[in-house]
Amino acid sequence: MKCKLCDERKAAIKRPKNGHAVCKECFFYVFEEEVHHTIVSNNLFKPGEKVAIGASGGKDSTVLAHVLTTLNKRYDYGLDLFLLSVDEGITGYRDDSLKTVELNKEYYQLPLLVISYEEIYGWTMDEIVKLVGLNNNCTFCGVFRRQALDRGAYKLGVDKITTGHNADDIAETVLMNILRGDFFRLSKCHKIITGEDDTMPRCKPLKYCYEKEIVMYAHLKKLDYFSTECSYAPQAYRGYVRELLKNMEKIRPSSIVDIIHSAEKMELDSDVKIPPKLSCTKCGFISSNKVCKACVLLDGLNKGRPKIAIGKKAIIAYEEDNKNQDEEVKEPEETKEAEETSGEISKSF
Amino acid sequence: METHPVPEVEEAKKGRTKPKKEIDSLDKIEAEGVEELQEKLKGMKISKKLKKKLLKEEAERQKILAYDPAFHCLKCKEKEGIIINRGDRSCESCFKQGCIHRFKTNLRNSLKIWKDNSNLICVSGGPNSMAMLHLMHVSLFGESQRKMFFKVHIVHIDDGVVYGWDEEKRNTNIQLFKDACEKYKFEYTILSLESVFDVEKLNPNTKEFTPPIEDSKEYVNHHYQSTEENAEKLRELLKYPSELCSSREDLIFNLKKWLLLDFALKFGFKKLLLGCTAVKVTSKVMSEIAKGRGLSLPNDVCFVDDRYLEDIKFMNPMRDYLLNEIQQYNKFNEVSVIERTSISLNNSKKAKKLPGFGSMNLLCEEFINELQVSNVQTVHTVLRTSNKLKLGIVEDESKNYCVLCYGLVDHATNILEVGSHIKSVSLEGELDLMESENDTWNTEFEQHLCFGCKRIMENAVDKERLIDSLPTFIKENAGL
Repeated sequence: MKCKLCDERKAAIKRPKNGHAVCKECFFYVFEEEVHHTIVSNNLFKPGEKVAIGASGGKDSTVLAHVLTTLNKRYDYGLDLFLLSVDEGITGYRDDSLKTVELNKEYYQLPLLVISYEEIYGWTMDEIVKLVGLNNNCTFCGVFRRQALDRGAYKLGVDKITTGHNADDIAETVLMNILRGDFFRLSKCHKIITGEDDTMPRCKPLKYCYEKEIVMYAHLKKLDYFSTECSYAPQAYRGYVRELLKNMEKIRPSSIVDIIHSAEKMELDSDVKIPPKLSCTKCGFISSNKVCKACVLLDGLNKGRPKIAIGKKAIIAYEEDNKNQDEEVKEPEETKEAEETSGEISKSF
Repeated sequence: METHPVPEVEEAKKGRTKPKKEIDSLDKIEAEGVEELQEKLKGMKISKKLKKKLLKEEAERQKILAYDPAFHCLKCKEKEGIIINRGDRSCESCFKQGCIHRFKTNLRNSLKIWKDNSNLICVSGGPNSMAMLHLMHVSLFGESQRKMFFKVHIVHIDDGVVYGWDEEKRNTNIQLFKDACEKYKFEYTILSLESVFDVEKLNPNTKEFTPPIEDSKEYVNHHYQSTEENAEKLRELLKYPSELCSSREDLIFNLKKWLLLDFALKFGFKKLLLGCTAVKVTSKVMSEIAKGRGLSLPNDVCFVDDRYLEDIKFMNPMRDYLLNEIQQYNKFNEVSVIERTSISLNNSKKAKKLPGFGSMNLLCEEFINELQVSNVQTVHTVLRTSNKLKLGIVEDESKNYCVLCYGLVDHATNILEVGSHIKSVSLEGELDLMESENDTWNTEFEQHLCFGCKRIMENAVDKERLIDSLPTFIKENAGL
């Protein structure tokens, strides 16, 4: 069977996206061109910009780094590319994947910055897990990583961060947000550029790329990537949704982009209240409250009661707590009392 | 031992000119249980009214003391709670009352129905709509305190052709429906799904429709039979949509909607009540998103969907009833239902291998049911999220309604949403690009469809013949 696209070479693979039989060369070319189309049609980059690639060492970010360097040469974007990695401090997972990032750095000749939780917050994920257990650890990791990436980007002096989120990830997030009732995130999770009005915009050039195609691309190009799941990630709920999405894809492969299309078209009713955008009074980074979640979580960790910091009303409790602390320095025995009062405050709120 | 709350009584008596003496000694009564209190009160000089009140209070107190959430009904706190719903137990009578009360509240507050005469209840015969019929009967003619005053008419669409039922089976089902209506003393009409081929004119965009038939009561208790020719047309039409991803089910659902609209327009009905329950609505949210129908989704699942011409509204009064509530309600009230072999439209080998038998609706329903078991708030969370979405209505001429599903016509935001934008590659690396989404959706007919319906066309077994075998009015609306 001949390749559907060039009609010359022998077809070697079936594209997961539309089921077309194509040859390897055409697949690579078309895949890159589609990313190029995404970038051009959404005006993701301007010539001369400095762009950081959020690199975890996994398949998505490796492919992203590869495609961006290729396209930067082919179409002369004139971009200054950087690799930016976050070291959460998870033994057996992140230390290994960072080695892969090192390889990428050599291969593509891109400058790399590794920023670690330990240097920013003074805690590694290993230590946090020891303290909180395996139930809510992802809350800490997620909140901290968001800010860590921002901090790293400022350190590098870049204009933008690109992340390797693919179509499957976005579709999954859309479904998750509906099931969790998070209408605010639902209204923005599908956007290709987020945080445009902040100082550090993020974009997802792989928005329309299927996960299966990314794996195929990385595999056939023999890219070095790291494919172990995080050792601390149970993520049962996301697992359900992931399975649903995979089933939907089996029924109709276009389901994934259809979900993105749906999310694109859904709008929030004008009556719905949207949380305000502020910056944290403590660290200055973006936040939707007076104090950002990262500071609240960190405070909880340092005080040895991290479970309370996860709760919804933790920010109010935190403010109240700090007010008290200004007045008098507490003995460790009194902390339990303080917890109770903060609990009451959150209830009355 | 607790003392009785006397201060209230004192408070009440303060206004009187002559305070009664005997009240002073009341706070010294120490009694446990109604009978003991009765004994002690016997010897005292107390007004009958006060005595009654005190006894009632004591009974209430005892009831709460004896209440065990793991055994008793949450509401009356007396009987054994046999039904567990979202973690709370309730007994049979409280459960029934609750169902009826919620139905009435929904009618009054969400649907704003209390005295119109032009309400049409659409009954398919399944558990949901039969429960709705019973609830409607109780709200209108039942022995409750707040009566409702409006008239309803029941309509049933006979879709035997779709399921391939024989004459006998069709007649039994129709008889079952007729019996139910007669039992509840409702007037009814039976339509055949095939009649959708007889609809003369119904255009969502130009707002043209078959003129209403005035002063005619011919539809009352009437069964409109359709011809065998139309049945054959319907069978032919259903051959062409893809058997995967619920294309066929959606097409049938839309045809039913057109037929109901036509009927409502002909005989002047304004409000059409459907029997969609919470699980249906929730799984619809999920499946519509997966089918790319996000734009018309909020309208499809809300309480009142008012995008239709001539102010016709489709309503979902049962939107917040859970599946097991309906099952229990039907069991307690002995409601009989028409049995359908869920979606027997899918029989091919390929479909049987796929999850949900290749049906998106079924897959989502299974998923929601599974999740509901582990987290009882799932359905209600999704319902609340869907409430917060903006309803889509055509305001000006720049937007149009889809001629197949009455949703808003929408286009891909990026051509990559359609698929790949590359048609072919030469060996030198030159690309042949698509200019717009119309390169994939290339027929004139598809230009009048929404994103989700374009997908139905794209995946059809035979697109040309599918378009060809659609009812005439739909083709006319698309300018064919």
